[in-house]
Amino acid sequence: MLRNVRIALWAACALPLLALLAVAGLELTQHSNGVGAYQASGIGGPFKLASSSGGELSSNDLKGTPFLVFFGYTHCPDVCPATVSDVSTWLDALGPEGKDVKALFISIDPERDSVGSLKDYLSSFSDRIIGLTGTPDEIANVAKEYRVYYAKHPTKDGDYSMDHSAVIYLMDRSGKLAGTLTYDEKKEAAVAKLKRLLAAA
Amino acid sequence: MNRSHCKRFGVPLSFLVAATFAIFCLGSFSAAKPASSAQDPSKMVAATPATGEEYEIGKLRITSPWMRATPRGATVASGYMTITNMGKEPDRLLSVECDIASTVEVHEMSVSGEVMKMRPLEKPLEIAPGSVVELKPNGYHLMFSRLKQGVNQGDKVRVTMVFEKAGKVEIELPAAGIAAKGPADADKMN
Repeated sequence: MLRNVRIALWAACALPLLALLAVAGLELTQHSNGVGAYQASGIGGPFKLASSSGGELSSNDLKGTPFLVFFGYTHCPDVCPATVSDVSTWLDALGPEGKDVKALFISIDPERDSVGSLKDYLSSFSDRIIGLTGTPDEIANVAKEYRVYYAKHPTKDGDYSMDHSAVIYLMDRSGKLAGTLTYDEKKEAAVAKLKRLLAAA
Repeated sequence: MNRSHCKRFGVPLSFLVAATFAIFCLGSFSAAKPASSAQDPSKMVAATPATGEEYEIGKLRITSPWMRATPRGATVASGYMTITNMGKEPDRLLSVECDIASTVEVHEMSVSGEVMKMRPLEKPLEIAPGSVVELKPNGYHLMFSRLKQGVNQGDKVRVTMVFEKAGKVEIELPAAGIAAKGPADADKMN
């Protein structure tokens, strides 16, 4: 009896472990191969936000469109401008065949980033990148959908900086996560992943 | 099966905890990035800056100063350079001033997991004797806050740096293009 219980317990405790290993395996596959199977990730979801291109952009408008999406803020001096300029370089490198892919920059600093300031900021980089902002609640919701962490960090002079996830998500035509890019992704790798995203049905 | 049974038997639970911790460590390891920009001068790759000046003040040498042009409407900017201490004593950067910004501080960018953080240094930036400290993208940088004007490619932004031992030096940071990754990119961007 005791032996059976012991075996059952081992099984019960090993199951979550196997699940964790599976998740870790998926992560590793993704890191080595780029665009991989992410269907089970649950990253991404419905949103409707104010757009720097005018009006609103919702997840419904993106049905059938592959897109990349990343989160940042315009009061960021170092990594955000570098990432925005990298994204515009990648889009340029794709050329005409990349015209279908959209690029979204969602502000996680809605208090300071208005539609106008996003439009100004992005105009320095590329007209291909759409800036999105909203009310603090709307941003909290979209961040939750995309499992993006962000937090205000006050600075001495009364301003603040934002800690935030620096990942770039690649979303396929069905709105599912197809892969990720990092803020320091090499151009060739990024362009290859974007091409695969475009080629996917 | 419930958790209390697991607890009673002990072994499976501790195994699970250990394995979970191992996976967590694996994840952290793959995401880890070197946080420090300081390095051994003997390991420096010789690089001649394409733009910018070299400055010597006391036992310090400042090379490859540069910054990136700012996007339209930006209120912040970052500046970079390499500081070498040729002396036998440590020196520290006490303050930086610049006419076009209300404050200039040394910040450090760090990434933990996938979360990016910017923090002012808690103690003044130290340049140890014989060491080379690099201020570069994704590491230490001068953080210009509340910009009074934008920075355009080709601008030369003048800053005054005060070091504890070497004293005060005024240097110019030539502005490279908005997409520049380093001072040498300045030429390519034109």
